[in-house]
Amino acid sequence: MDWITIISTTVKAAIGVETVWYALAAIGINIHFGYTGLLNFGQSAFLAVAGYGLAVTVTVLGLPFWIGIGVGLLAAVLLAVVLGIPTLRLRADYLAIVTIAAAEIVRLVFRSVAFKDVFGGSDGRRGFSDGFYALNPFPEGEYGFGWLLFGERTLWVLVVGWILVGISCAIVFLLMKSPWGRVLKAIREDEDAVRSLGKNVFSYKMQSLILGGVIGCLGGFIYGLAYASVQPDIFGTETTFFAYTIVILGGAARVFGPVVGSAIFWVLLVLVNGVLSGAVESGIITFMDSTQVGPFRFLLVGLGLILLLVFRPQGIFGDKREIAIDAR
Amino acid sequence: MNGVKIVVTTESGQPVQEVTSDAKGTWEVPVEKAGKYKVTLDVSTLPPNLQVRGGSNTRTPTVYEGNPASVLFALQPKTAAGAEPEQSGGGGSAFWERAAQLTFEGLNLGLIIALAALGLSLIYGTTGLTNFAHGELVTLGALLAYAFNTGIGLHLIPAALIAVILAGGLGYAQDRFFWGQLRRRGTGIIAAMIVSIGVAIFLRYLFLILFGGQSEAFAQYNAQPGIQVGPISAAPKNFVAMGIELLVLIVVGVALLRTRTGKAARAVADNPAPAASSGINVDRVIRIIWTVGGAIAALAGIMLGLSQNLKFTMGQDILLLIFAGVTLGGLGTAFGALVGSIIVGLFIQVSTLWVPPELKSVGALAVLIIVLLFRPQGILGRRERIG
Repeated sequence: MDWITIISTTVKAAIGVETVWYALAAIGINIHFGYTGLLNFGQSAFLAVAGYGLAVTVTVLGLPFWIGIGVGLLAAVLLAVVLGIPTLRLRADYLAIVTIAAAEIVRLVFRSVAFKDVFGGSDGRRGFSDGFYALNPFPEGEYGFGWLLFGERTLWVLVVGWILVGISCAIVFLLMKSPWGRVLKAIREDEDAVRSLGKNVFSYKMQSLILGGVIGCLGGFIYGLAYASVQPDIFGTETTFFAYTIVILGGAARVFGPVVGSAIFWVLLVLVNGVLSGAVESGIITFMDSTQVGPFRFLLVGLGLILLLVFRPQGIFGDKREIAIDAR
Repeated sequence: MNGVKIVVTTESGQPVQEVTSDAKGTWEVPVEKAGKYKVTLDVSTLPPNLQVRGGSNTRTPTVYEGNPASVLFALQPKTAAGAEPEQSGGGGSAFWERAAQLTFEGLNLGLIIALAALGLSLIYGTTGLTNFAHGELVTLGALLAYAFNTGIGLHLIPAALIAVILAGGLGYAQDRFFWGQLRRRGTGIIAAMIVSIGVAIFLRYLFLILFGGQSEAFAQYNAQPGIQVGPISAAPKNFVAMGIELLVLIVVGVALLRTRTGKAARAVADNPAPAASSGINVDRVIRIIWTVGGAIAALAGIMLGLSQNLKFTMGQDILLLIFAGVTLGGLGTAFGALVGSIIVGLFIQVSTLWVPPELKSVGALAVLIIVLLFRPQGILGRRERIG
C-alpha cells in the first residue's frame, strides 16, 4: 500500500475544500439546531441558492463577480424568510419535514429541463469563477512543503474559505455571548417561558434562520468557486444530513464544534477510502471490489451517526445539557 | 396501423432501434438515457391511401428519466392535391382521455404511497418517531423480492410473498432489538429522528454495495403489452397490482377497525398513556405495528418495482411523497394517511397535464407546505398544538 499518498491525502483533507464548505454549512446548522433548537433539514437549499445565484448572475446575465455574490447572499436571506414564515411556528418534526421538502423543491427546480436555459439542468452551470481567480494574489506555482502541496488556485480558495470560517466562528462566539444569543438558547430550552417574558419568539427564530442560512450559503460559494461549477445534485438531502453528522460529531452548541467535526469527518472518510482502496488493490481485502469502497465509507457514516446519537449525543466537545434532542 | 416501420435515433443521429408497429398500431422502444430522440416513421411502409397528418413524418420527443415519452403519428386518408386537410376537432376529447389515463396512473401511485404511508403514520402515532428510514424499508422489500426472483430463480409471486414475510420479520426485529431498546433508554423524539437518518444512510449504502447502482427489473411481468379499458391503456399487471394494493389496504383497515389488536393500535396511536393504563400492552402493540408496517412497506416496494424499475434509491425517492401523504391526511392517523396518499398520488400524475413531468413532485411538496400552513393537523387530524 502507498502509505505516503494515503497520509498526504488525509492531511490535505483536514484543511481541504470539502472540509471548508461543509464546515460553513455546519456552522449554519449549529446556529439553527445547536443554539436555537430549530431542526432545519433544508440547509442544502441555502447552499444551492447561493451557488446558483452567483453562477446564474455571472454566466446568464453576464454581470460581474461581486454582484453575483450579492445576489447569492440575497437569495439565501430571501429563502430563509420564505421558508421561515410558514414553518417557524411548527413543532420540530413538522419543521424537519417542511424544510426537507423545500430543499427538494429547490433542487428539482434547478435540475429541471424546463429551466435548463437558466439553471443548466442536471449538468448545472460552469464558467463563473474567473472573477474570483482574477483576485488571486498568489502567483502561479505550487505552495507548501514536502508532499503537502497546493496549486495557487486551491490555495486561494482555501485561504478565503478559512478566513470565512474564522469570521463565522467569531460572529457565533460574540453573538452567543450577547443577550441576543442567550435568548436563542432560552428558546431552545423552553420557548413558552421565553414568550411569557415578552420576547417575540418568532422574530428571534427568523433571525436565527437567516443568520445560519447566510453563513451556510457561504459554503455554496466556496463549493462553486473551488470546482468552478455547480450541479443540482451536490445540494441534495444527503449534504444536509452529512452536515448534521458533522455538527453532532463535533458537538452541537459549541463554537468550534462544526469546524473540528468537519475536519474529523473528512479525515476519516479520506483515510478509510485510502486504506480500503489500497487494501483492495493489494489483495488484502477480497470481499469488496474497488467500486464498493466508496459506498462502504458512507455506510460507516450512517453507522457512526447512529452510534453517536445513542452513546454520545453531545459529540466530542459538546455539553450534554446543551443538546436540544430531548425536547418535546 | 399494423406493420409500419418506426426508426428511433438519438438527436445526433445515432441509431437506437427500428421497430414495426403491432396489430393495434402501438410500438415501444426502450432507451438507455434521458434526452432528446428523433423518431421517424417510414412513409413507404404506410398503405398507399394514407398519409401522416401535418405532413412531417419525424417527431423529436424529450425523454425524462423513468418516464416513458409517447409519440403519436396521426394518420389520415390521402386527400387530393390542393385540398385543405380537414382540421380535427378531437383536441378536447384527447385531453380528457389523457386526464383519465393520468388519473388511473395517479391512483396506482397513490395506492403504493398509501401502503408505505400507513406503516409510517402508525409508527409515528404510537412511538412519536418520524422515521426517515421508512423509504429504505420500501427499497428493502423490492430488493428482497428481486433477490429471490432473479438470484434463486423463484417466480415473482412466491418471491414477493417470501420477501413480504421476511420484511415483516425484519420490521419486528428492528423494533425488538433497536427502536424498542432506544425507547427503553429514553431517547428523545428528535434524537430518534436523527438516528433514523443514520439508519437510512446506513441501509441505503448497504443496498448500493449489495445491489449496485444500476436499474433492474423483475424477471417476470416486465414488458407486458397494454390493454385498453375505456379511455385507459395499461399493462394487465397494473390492474392486478392495484387490486392487490386495494385488498391489502382494506384488510388492514378492517383489522384496525374490528380486531382487538387493531383497536388497541388505534388507542395507543391516540394517546399511549391512557391506553397503557386501560390494560393494553403498549410494547406488544408497537411491535405488531412495526411488523405489519415493515411488511406492507415491502409490498409497496415490490409494487413500485413492478410499475417502475428497481434502484437502490427508489424508496428514498418516494420518501417525501410518503411524508406528504401522511401530513396531508394528518400525522398519526391511519385513515388520514390513506386519503392523503391517494390525493398526493393523483395530484402528482394529473398535474403533468399542465406541468413538465420532471417537476410533478414539486407540486406535491408545495401542497405539503401549503397544507401545513393552513391546516397543519391534516384532513382527518384533530386540532392540537403543533406550534
